[in-house]
Amino acid sequence: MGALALGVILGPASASAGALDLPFEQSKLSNGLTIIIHEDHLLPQVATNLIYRVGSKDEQAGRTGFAHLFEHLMFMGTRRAPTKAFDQWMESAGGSNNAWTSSDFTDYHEMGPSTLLPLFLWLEADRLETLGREIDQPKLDLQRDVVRNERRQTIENRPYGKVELRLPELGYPESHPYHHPVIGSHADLEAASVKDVRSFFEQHYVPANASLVIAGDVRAAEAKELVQRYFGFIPSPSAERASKPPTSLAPPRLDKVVRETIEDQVEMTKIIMAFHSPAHFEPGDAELDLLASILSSGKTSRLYKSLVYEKALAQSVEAAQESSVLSSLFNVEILLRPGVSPDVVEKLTDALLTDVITKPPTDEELARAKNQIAFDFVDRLQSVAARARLLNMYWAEKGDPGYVHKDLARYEQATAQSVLAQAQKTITLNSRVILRVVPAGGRAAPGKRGR
Amino acid sequence: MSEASRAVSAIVLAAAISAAACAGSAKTNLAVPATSAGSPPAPGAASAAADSLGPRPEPKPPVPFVPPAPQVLEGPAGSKVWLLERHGLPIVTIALVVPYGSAAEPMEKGGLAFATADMLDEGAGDRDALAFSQAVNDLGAKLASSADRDSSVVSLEVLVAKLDQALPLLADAVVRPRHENKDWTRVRTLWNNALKNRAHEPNDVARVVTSVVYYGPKHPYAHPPDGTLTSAKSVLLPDISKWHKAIWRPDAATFVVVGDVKPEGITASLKKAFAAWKVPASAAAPVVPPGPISNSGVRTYVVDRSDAPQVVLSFARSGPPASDPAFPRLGMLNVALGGSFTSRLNQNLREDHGWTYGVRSRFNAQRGAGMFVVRAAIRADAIAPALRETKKELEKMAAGGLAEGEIDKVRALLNGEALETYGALHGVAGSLASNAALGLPPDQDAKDLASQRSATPKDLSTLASAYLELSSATLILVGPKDAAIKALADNGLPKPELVDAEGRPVAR
Repeated sequence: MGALALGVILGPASASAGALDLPFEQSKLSNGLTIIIHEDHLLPQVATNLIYRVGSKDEQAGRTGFAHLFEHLMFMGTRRAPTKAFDQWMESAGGSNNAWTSSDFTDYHEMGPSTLLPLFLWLEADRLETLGREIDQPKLDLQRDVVRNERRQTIENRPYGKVELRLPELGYPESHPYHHPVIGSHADLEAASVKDVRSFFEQHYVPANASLVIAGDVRAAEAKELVQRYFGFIPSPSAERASKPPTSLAPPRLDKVVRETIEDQVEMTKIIMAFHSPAHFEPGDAELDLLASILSSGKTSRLYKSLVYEKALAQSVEAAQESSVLSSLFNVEILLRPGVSPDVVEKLTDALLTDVITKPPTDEELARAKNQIAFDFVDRLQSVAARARLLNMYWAEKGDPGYVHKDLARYEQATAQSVLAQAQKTITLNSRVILRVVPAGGRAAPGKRGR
Repeated sequence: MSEASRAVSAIVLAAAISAAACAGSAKTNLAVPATSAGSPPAPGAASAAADSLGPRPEPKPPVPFVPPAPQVLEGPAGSKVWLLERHGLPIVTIALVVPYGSAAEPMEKGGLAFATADMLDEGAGDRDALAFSQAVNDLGAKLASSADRDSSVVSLEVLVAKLDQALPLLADAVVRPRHENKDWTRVRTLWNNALKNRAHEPNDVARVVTSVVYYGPKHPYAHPPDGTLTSAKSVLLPDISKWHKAIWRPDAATFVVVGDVKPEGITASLKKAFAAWKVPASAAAPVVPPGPISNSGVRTYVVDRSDAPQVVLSFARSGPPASDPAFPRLGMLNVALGGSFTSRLNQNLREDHGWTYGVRSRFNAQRGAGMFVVRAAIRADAIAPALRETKKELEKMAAGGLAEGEIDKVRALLNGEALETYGALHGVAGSLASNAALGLPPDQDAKDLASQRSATPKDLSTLASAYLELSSATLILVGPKDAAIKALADNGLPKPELVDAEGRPVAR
C-alpha cells in the first residue's frame, strides 16, 4: 500500500484535481488487436475489459436489439467451452464477469484474483475465434427469451421505463443509427436468425475491431506475452473494414417541437425535454456537462431551486448531457408533484432555460460545477475494473488511452462565456422533443389499476 | 448513454433484495480463500495437439485474501474511530454510524429514523438548507444520510485537500441540524410523494410487502424503514428533534474512515470539528436485537398488478442474526443457491428455461431475527413452473447440502468477491460500516473468511436442512392476480391473501 500504489498521481491541491496520471502500456498484435496494460499491485486481483466497436447503431433495419442479443450469445458456449462452461469455470476459480451494450460499443469484462488472467484471456480468445460459427438455434432461442425478460424487467414493468424506448425514436429520424433503442423490439428479437448471428459476428467480431485492457496485479511484459499466446493466432479477415471511424453523418436536427404524451402505470407526470447536442468529446460537450450541473445538481441549482425548493411544483429535476459517439442528447427531466399542471411547469422551465441562454453562469456557479466534476474524476478511479473501463473508453473513442489529461482539461478550460455560447447553440426552445408520461387512465389507486 | 447489461449487477440486486431502505449498510457476505482450488475437468472434446489456442489454463490457486482489520482509535467525546488507511488516491470516505434505526422507533411513527436522517442536511449550524447544500457542492464533496432497520448513517466523501473544510459541515449536520418548519414541510411532502411512487415499482412493492407479512404486524422489523403512507403522516417535527437528540450521541457512534489520512491527523481533525458534540446526561437507550417471528406454516400473498408483463416472486423464511456463528456459513449456501450467476436457481430459471433476467437470494444481515429471501421477476405466463422449480431447488439443497466441487467454487468466489470489496474505498467503507451498525467487531470480515474456510460438507448440510426446509415460509407474488392465484393453486400452495402495495389486506 505504498503512496503510489494505485498509480495515480494528483498535482498540488487546487480547486481542480490537478494533474491526473493513469499510466499504461499500449501495443498491438499483428492481427490488429489493441492491448492496453495498467499495473496496480495494491491487491492480488486483475480486471480485464474487452471492447468491440459495435453497438446498436450498427444494426440493420428489422434487426433492432441485435447487438445486445449478440452480447448475450457470447456466453452460450463453444466446442472448447460448452454451454454454461464459461461462467462455471470462471466462478469456480473465483472470477466474475458481465457485459454491456450501448448504441456505440459492446463491452465484456472480467474480474478476479490475478492468477485468473490466463483463464480470462483463454475464454475471451476462444469465443472471439469460434463463437459465431458454433451458434445454433437452441442457444439463440434461450438467450432471446432472457433478453425479452430483461426488456420486461428493466423497461416495461418499471415506472417511466418506456421513455428509454420513445426518446431516441422521437429525437432521431428513422434514417439515423440512433433512432432505435438499444434493447430493440420484441418483433425484431423474434425475427433474429442463426444466419443473422453469423454474419454479424463475421463483420464485427474481429481482432482489429477490438481493444483489450488488463488492469491490476500483473507485470506488463508477462501479460502481453499471454495475450500474444491466446489471441495471436486469430486471423483478422476483415481488417480492411474494421476499426473505421464512424461514418460522418450530418448532425441531426429537429426543425420543430416534437411532442408526444404516453400513459404509464405511474403516480405523477414526468416531462422530458431533449435537445440535440455535440457528440462525446466534441467542442461544447464538456460545457454541457457543466451546464447540466448548474441546472440540477444540488439545492441551489437553477431548476431545483425554482421548481422543487421555491415553487413546490416538482418532485425532482435532472439535467444531463447524454454523450454518444455520433451525436448526443441534452436531456432535462422534471417529475411533477401530483396535480400540478404540466403546462405551467413547462412555461417556468422555459423561462429558466431562457436565462441560461441569455446570461452566462456566475463565476460561483461555474466553480461549483467544476469542483464537483474534479471530485468525480478522482472518485471514478477507485477500482481496477473502473480504470480498465476508462482506459478502454478513451482508446475506443479517442484512440488514446492516456486521454484523461485532455479530458480533464476540457472542463478546466471552460469559461462562463463558453458555457453560454454552447447553451445558446443547444438549448433551442423551438426545436426539441417534449415527451410527457402521464398516469394511465387518469388517477387510480396504486396496486389495483387496470387499463 | 443508454446501456443494456448481460446480467443484473450484483450490487443493484443486493440493494433491491436488501431489507434496508437505503444502500450503504447492507452487509456484504464475505469470502473465504480456497484451501484447494477447484479444477473442473478439461474439455474432453478439444484435441490439444491440433488446437492453436492450446489447452485451457489451470489457474494457480489464488493467495488466500485476508481483509486488513481497521485500526480502532478514540474519537471525539467517547466515540470510536475505525480507520483503514488507503493512500493511492487523494480521497477519503467517512461513514458515521449509530446503532439505532427503524426497529427502535415507535411503530406507529414508522419512518421516523428515515425522516430524521433526511433532515440532517436540511439546514444545519449557521447555514440554511440552501447554503448548506451549496457549501457541500462548493467543495465537490458528497454528503448523504440514511437509516435502515438497525442503524442510522451519515457519510462524507471528499478530496483530502478539502477534508478540513468539509468536516465542520458533517459535524453541523450531526450536532446542529436546524429542524425548521419550512424545511420539514417541504421534506415531508417530497417523502409522501416518494411513497406514492414506491407503490408503482414492483420490486420495491415486493420488498416492502415481504417484510410486512413475513415479520407480522407487531415485530420491529416489519414496517419499511422509509415508512408507509399512513405512518409517515404521524411523524412530526418535534418527534424528529427528540429522536435526533436520543440517537445521535457520541458514546453510541462509530466513525468508519477509509482513505488517504493518518491516525493522528484524522483523530485531531474529528475532535476539532466535533468539539461541540457532548454525551447527554441521560443514558443511551439499550440496543435490543428484535426477537424471532411467531408465524408458522406456509403463507401466501398476492399484490395485484393486473396488466404487468412479469410477476415478481419473493420468497422469505427465517434466518439467524448476523452475529450468529452460522451466519457466514449460510452465506456459502446462499452463493450456491442464488447468490451468484452459476447458482442453482439462476441456472435453472434463467439459463435452462429463459423465464427471467435473473434470480438472486440472500440472508439479510440484521442485529436481530434475520430473513432469507429469494427474489426474481418472472415472465407472467411462466410463474407456475418457476414456483415449482424454485421449490424444488430449495428442497434439494435442504436435503443434500452442497456438492464437494460446489464448496470449492463457493470458497473461490467468496475470496474473489472479498478482493473486489476491498479494492475500492466505498466497498471497504460499506462493509466496515455494516459491521459497526450490527455490533460486530472491526475484524468481522476476516473472521467470516476463517469460518467459511473451516466449514466441512457436513457442517453445511446441517445448516442447509435447518435453514432451507420449507415447513414455515412466506411467499409473495406481485403481478397479474389471476395468473398468480392459479400458479399457487397449481403448486398445491395455500390460497393467498390479497394485499395492497404496503401489505394491507384488500377486499376481494
